[in-house]
Amino acid sequence: MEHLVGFALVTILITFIVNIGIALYGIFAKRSLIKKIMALVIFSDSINVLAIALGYRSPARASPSPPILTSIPSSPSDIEVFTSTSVDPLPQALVITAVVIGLSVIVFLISLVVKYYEHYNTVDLILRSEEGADEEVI
Amino acid sequence: MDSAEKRKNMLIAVSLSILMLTLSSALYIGGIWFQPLIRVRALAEIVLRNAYNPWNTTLTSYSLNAVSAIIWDYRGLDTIFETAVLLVSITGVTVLLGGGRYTGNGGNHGMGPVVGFSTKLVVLITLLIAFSTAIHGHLTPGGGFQAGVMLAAVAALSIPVFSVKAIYAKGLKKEALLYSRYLMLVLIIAVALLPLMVTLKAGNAYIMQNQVKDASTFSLPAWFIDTPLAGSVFFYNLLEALAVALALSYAMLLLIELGSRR
Repeated sequence: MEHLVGFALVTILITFIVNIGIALYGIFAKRSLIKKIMALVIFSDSINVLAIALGYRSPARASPSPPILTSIPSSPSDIEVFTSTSVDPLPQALVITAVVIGLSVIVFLISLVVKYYEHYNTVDLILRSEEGADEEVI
Repeated sequence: MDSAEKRKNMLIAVSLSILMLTLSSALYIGGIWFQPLIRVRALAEIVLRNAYNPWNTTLTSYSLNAVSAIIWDYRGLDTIFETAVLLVSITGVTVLLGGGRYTGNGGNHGMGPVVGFSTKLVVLITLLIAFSTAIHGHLTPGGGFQAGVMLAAVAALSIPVFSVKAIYAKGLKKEALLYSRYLMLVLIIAVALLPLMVTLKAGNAYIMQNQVKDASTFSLPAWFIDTPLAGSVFFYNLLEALAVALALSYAMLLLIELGSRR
């Protein structure tokens, strides 16, 4: 069981690192701005999941529990057990901040793309070498 | 997409996943990759021990959910600025896309009475779950932001089902959503500054203080009858849920209205 969890964790971490690479490729290589935004979302969400996975606790001693105390009223021994089994809450708290910031960035980017579409009638990037001599330079 | 391209994409996906599995088994068998820790970091241990700990009154926040305790108590100032960033981005969207009026072209057609009735049922259930997530944010998984996203899902569902026109006919103004969003930020800051009222009389207090500290006796209610209330964490969760819901519903209305203007 412990080996299975460890192997799954390594696979997840490696996969998300490669996912970050693919998303970076998408951000730079795709012409469509919508596809660039989609790649940006995948990029930030992969980093978020990676951060949460790094806070996981080894199941060697006891199976890890979520960072929420479940007994009311709690005795001091409950709190001790909770402290020794719970996963790391700090990455989770940081990630929820990152999610909200990412969301506000994406809302703003989408409205920029809408403006871009109104102006150029396309959501593809117009490269300098392709445009006509008298067209406006972006 | 023709079948040759489909086959090529499938081949890329399968070979990538085989590469990942091979790489991770090699790394795991070699034992040179990240191993999950047996003990969490010292800072995390302090947070876990004190998030709910009535025997350590100067460090605890009475929040059973350690993540909520970090977000709104131990790192509270961070979160206030985070919700301010959301407000700034919504304001930016308004500057870019707002300024127009809803002309009534497009977005007029709802999806009919059957879909409308079943959507009302779903909306009712979602509202209940969202509010319970918000007010239990310090007891169970969840919190202000999660509840706000659920409430925004209600808006995302109702706008296409009941049509933009019907929603405006009910007397809703989208400016009202934006102004309530500003009000929510003001209220969050007001709760953060509430401890300073103590300093008007004699006594010490800190900004965003929740429970008693070494040099201050100020404390927001830690218990509601027999359930932990976690003081300011409860109020922040409630206000943040409304703030996120208002911001996202406003952005959705603005974008859908833009589509109908064309």
